Amino acid sequence: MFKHYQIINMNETLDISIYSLALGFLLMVLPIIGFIYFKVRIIKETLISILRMIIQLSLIAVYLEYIFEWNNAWINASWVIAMVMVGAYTTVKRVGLNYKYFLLPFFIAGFTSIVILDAFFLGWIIRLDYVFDARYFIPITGMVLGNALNHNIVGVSNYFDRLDKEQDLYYFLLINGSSRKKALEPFISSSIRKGLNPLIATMSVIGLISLPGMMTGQILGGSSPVVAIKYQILIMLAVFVGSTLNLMICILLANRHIFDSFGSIKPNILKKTR
Amino acid sequence: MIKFENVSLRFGELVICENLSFDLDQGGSLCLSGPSGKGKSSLLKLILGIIKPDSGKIFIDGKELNATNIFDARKKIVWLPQNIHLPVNSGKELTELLDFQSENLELYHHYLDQLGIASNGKEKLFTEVSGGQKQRMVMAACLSLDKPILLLDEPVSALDDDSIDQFIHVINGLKGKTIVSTSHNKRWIEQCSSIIKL
Repeated sequence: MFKHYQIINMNETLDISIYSLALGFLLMVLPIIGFIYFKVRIIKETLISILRMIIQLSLIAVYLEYIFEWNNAWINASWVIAMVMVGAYTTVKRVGLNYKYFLLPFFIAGFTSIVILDAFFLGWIIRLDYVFDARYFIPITGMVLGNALNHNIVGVSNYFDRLDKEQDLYYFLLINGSSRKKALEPFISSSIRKGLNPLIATMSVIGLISLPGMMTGQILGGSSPVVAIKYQILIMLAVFVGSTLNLMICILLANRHIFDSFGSIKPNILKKTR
Repeated sequence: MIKFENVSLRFGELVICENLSFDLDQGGSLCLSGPSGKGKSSLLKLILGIIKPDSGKIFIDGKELNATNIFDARKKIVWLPQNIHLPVNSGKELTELLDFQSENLELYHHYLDQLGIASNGKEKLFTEVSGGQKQRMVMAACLSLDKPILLLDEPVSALDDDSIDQFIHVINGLKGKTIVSTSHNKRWIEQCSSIIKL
């Protein structure tokens, strides 16, 4: 007997009906049962974040329709600046730092790394005639920023936690060592390692145990796998460089606000505001 | 060399010192003694400028500690904190962490000998030596920095009696060093030229 396959055009993606999309949420029952069984109190947090995801992505779908249609450099750049600002705000909030001191430095860090990356990858490697082309500029910048945010939070969190808990080590190295830069080396190096380790692990198994979202999306959208893989390689490089630059600049700029004129750690900086 | 002028410090309700004044000359050794939790280590941190006094003045080498000269003052000070966790696995890595030059390395090996670390122990990992041996290796590294002021926080707390004698012998052999320490240990306290009880 012959099986019946639905024949679709290679350049079309099968649409998902709202009903099917809603059915997808049934799968959430499994983790929720697990949370209840292991008494993990994150059900409310999870449901709220899923709700936020639905609202945010729905709004994005509407915004992007217009943004792609207008394709205006100022609007596209403003969109990216807003994304960088939200990233900086989220980092400060999640790490539990003082907004007054760290929002601007973290914004500058995100903005600088994105300018470097977009100029390099979009302008020089992909050689777009119009670097602010919404179809490239916004999704690629968004992917880099989104990934950088996760790694940044891990790295920056580790930096402040260690500085808080191991103050004696910092002062020991500051007083007995040669310079403040040298005294901060162990803290900076461990936070960069902590922040980037998951990304290094992801890159090492990509294609083996994971198929990245962008590549899958491109293939579903009708691109050839070869083109999709080339973009994916570039995106992974951009994500790695973006995360590294963002984290390093964040730490360097944060250092200007962490220490007082005696080189001592300011107490109100490390106070958690969460 | 180190002078406190009416220094007061308190953490909330806990009074660490009230109008404390002393003048420790070059070559003198002062021991801060008293029960745990009374703030002995905090007094050392006042000298280092890590904590600022609520009132009063602190002088190092005749200069009042302030934001302009604190970094110069610290260049004259070695600080050996209590129970510090160092991100190194061996004495060799410690000397690299402290950016040792050849003259420091020479002194380091000299003090290791003096503190009874046998030559085969020098290359051992910290995980392969006892707590006391590790403390002596850190002490040797601190002494090798060869600075005029030593701030030692409970320096003999992890040492056995023989090692305490060895350490006291080494410290007494240092000429012209000004030492401020904290300790509960009777033998250590006895060899100090002055004591402040908290």
